[in-house]
Amino acid sequence: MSAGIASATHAARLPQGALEVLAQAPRRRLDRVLIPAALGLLLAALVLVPILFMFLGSVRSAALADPAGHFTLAKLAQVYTTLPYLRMLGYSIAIAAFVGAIATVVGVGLAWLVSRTDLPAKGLMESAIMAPLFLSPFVGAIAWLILASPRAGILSAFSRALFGAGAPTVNVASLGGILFVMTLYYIPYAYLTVSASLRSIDPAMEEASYLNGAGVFRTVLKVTLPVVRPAMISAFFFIFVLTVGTFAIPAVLGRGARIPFLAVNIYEATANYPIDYGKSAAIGTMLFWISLTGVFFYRHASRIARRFVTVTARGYRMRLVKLRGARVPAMALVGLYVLLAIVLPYLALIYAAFTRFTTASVFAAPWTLDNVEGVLTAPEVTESISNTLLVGFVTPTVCVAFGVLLAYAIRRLRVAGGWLLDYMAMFPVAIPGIVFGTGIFWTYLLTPVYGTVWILVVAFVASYLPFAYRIGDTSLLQIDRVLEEASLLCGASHWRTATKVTLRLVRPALLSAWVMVFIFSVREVSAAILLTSSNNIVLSVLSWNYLDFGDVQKAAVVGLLQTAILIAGVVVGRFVFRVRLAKSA
Amino acid sequence: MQSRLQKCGVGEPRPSPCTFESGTAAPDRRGLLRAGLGSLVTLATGRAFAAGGQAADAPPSDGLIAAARKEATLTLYTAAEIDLVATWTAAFTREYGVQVKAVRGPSYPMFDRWLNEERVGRHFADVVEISDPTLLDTAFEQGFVARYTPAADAAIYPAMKRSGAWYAARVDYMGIAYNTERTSADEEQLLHASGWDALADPRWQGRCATTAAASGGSTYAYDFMFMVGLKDRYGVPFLRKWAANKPEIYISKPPLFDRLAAGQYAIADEASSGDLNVLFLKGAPVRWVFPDPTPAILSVQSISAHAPHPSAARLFTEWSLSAAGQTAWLANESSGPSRPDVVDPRKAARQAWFGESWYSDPKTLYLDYLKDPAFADPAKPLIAAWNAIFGYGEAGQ
Repeated sequence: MSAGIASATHAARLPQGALEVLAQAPRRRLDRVLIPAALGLLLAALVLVPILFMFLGSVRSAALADPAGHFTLAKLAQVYTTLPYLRMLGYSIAIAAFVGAIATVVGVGLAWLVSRTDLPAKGLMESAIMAPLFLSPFVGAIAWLILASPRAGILSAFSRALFGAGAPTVNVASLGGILFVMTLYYIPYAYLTVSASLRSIDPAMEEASYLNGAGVFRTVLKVTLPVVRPAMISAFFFIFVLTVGTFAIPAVLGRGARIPFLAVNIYEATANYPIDYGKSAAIGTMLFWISLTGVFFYRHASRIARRFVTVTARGYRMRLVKLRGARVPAMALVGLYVLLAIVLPYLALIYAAFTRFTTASVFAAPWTLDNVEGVLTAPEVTESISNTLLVGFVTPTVCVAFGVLLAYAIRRLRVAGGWLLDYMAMFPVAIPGIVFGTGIFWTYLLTPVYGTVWILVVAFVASYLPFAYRIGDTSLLQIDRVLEEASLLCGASHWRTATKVTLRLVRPALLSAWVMVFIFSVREVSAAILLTSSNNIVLSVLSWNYLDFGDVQKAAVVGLLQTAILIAGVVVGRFVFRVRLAKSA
Repeated sequence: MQSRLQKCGVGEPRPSPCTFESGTAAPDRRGLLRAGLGSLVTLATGRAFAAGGQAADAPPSDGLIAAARKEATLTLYTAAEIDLVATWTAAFTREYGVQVKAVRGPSYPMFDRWLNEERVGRHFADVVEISDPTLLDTAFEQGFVARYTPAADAAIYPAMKRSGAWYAARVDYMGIAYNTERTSADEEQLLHASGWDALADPRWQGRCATTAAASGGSTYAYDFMFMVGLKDRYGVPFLRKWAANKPEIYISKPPLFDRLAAGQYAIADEASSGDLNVLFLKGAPVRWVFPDPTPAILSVQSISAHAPHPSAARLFTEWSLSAAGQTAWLANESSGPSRPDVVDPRKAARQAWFGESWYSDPKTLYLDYLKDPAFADPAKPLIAAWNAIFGYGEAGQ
């Protein structure tokens, strides 16, 4: 609103500006009413209606389409007031908090090493830290199951071979194992969030600390960390929200371990008999409130963090901390992370892909090419590759276009109800994919997109809109409005200014958002398994299906195929469009 | 023989002679024999047909074939493994030129999804294939299933069909599986000699796994046998002993068998022949035993009342229930056939597990659950009881 008033005041000062103001009146009506209404309707269809279906489902005794169903509060009462669910809630919050805290600490450490020290081969190090993003957490969990089952894991077998029968074994199918694997795969998110802040803080503050005699440790503790604290808090809550809704890792690793986790319980309520949609939705509402609280703190911390992320015209040279003797241990730390998050899981997947059945006896393994041949010749695989590519291309394109339009309308056009649109756009982060998938199912069951590949596009656009929107929003905030105002004063229309000035300036960030949503769309399994049909199977669902039938070998082959597609997409982004996720996210 | 078999038919309204008498300490041998008559006949006739060949089915009419070809495709909702289904249905496509698109999912969610789609008038599924016939009974009574009697009707065992509504395309047997590298010779002997009681032996503590009763029709039927069908012989005390061995509980059977083959566990129950056969053929160190009586799980199929490709659906049903269709599945994997004139060629040639000294077919099949109203109760009350015994689900929180 203030922007509109400001430009009007500007124009009024100019003798010829009065006519322009009058000419802009219909446009202002467009800004004030039509654009927010149109965006609100789109967001409602994409985000609100599925959420409403979730809430409606929680007060029904049976499936929404079941004529025998009736309204009841029994499911909500069961979930919100009985001990098993409250205990599960406690566990889920504790697990998410633990994963958020550890992933943030490690992510900050890695980000500091890469951004603020003289660690060698930084480009390579950064790519290595970001690499776990290319591995679906679901596929990563399968890999860790192969590696670290207590009696049948490859690592345990090696341990026994080296140290005898009484040697310690690793059990990833346990609470500790689940926490470990979740943390591994959420570290890149903390890295992404914090590294941008670390790169953009004014080095003068650290310089002042050094000049006053403080050492590296004291400067980091007293200057750097306080400055990036909001970014750290933002990372923590972001990972907290993602973890609390994570279904794939505890579902794969917790099968035998009886770990109480709300997101898994949601899946089980719709996969086990008797199928209980009401209970599933009621648990979904519980997760929604937890995640919404997390989103609230995340948004608050992000807003504060952005104050420290400023693009200024002043050039400076960042002083890098000399690691000296700590260089090798620092590189070893990064190497250890890469070994655990990437090297070992991929070796396990490759091992599984080329053996006839899962065995820890690596040296006596029954090697075969049958799995690869079987997967590559299966018609479902050909179809799912093309569906994955289609979804992988269309989803980020639509998502980023919508996200930037939304951010532009809220930040630049200052449309009425911008805060509401902002909240609505962030809602999907608060809803686990498995719950959102059910909402999408009911929302689109009667529409032509149901049963086609487009329902996946719709589901994924809605799910990942918060990411595209947040990146677009942050990059818009960092662009000095003077540039756009200059364009407007020179007589360019809003549309021309937006396309010729604003979009060009935020282009790198949008490409980053595109690559990120591309990665998520190719990996997504939670919502996709609920929406799959004969015409829209994608690789992630195929992999899930294989695993569901105990065919870990083919699940591994499909997981590798999925990774190949992800790497191809990211390589194109990196070398054709010069996208660097860590610099724009 | 046929008339006695019909007494075990699902459609019998009166109490079936297959039902075990309650109040006895152990099931009467004759009662068990009667209960498993279907299986005995399966095995006996199987051997006979191995020598004599398969009976011919009446071929589908030219009109049906032409109409199906015009529709060109059909959608199969199935709970079976996607690759096995693809290979199996490819044989149908080769024969009739009609494509089959399969949508895969666990039985209950798949059934529920189909029902929800039908209720709102979105008709995608042509043929639905799941492991719990009682659900199809309900769907049939509610008008969601098309009434159709295929030519193979007479050939299917009476206990494995509800004429005009649903038919079993194959049968899976459930026993105890073990990893030969995690069990001693004595333990193998125990498993083969002690029947189901072997599960209660404390030696398996921490070395075993099972699947939750809630995970599907097959697991529910399996647990129903101990908790209701044979409650006087086994019942809660037996399950408590089994639970005391602290089996790790899975929500789906195949991932459990993958871990069994990998050496994570020494034994697992609810070992379905179809899953184990595939692992055995891959060379995994697994074997299995079918204690007596052996729960039999049917893979049953129905035609959706509003199938978008009704002729293709009917032609597929004709084929999949025919001797040729069932043989095509056996070549694929190896469940039991649902008709006496079909036999696994490997069995006749004593190949694969059929040629192994440790292997023996199930003696008597337990199918009584199909006639028990308690089994069809949609609330599935046994699940809560099972969860309480095993400390699983909400009961375990």
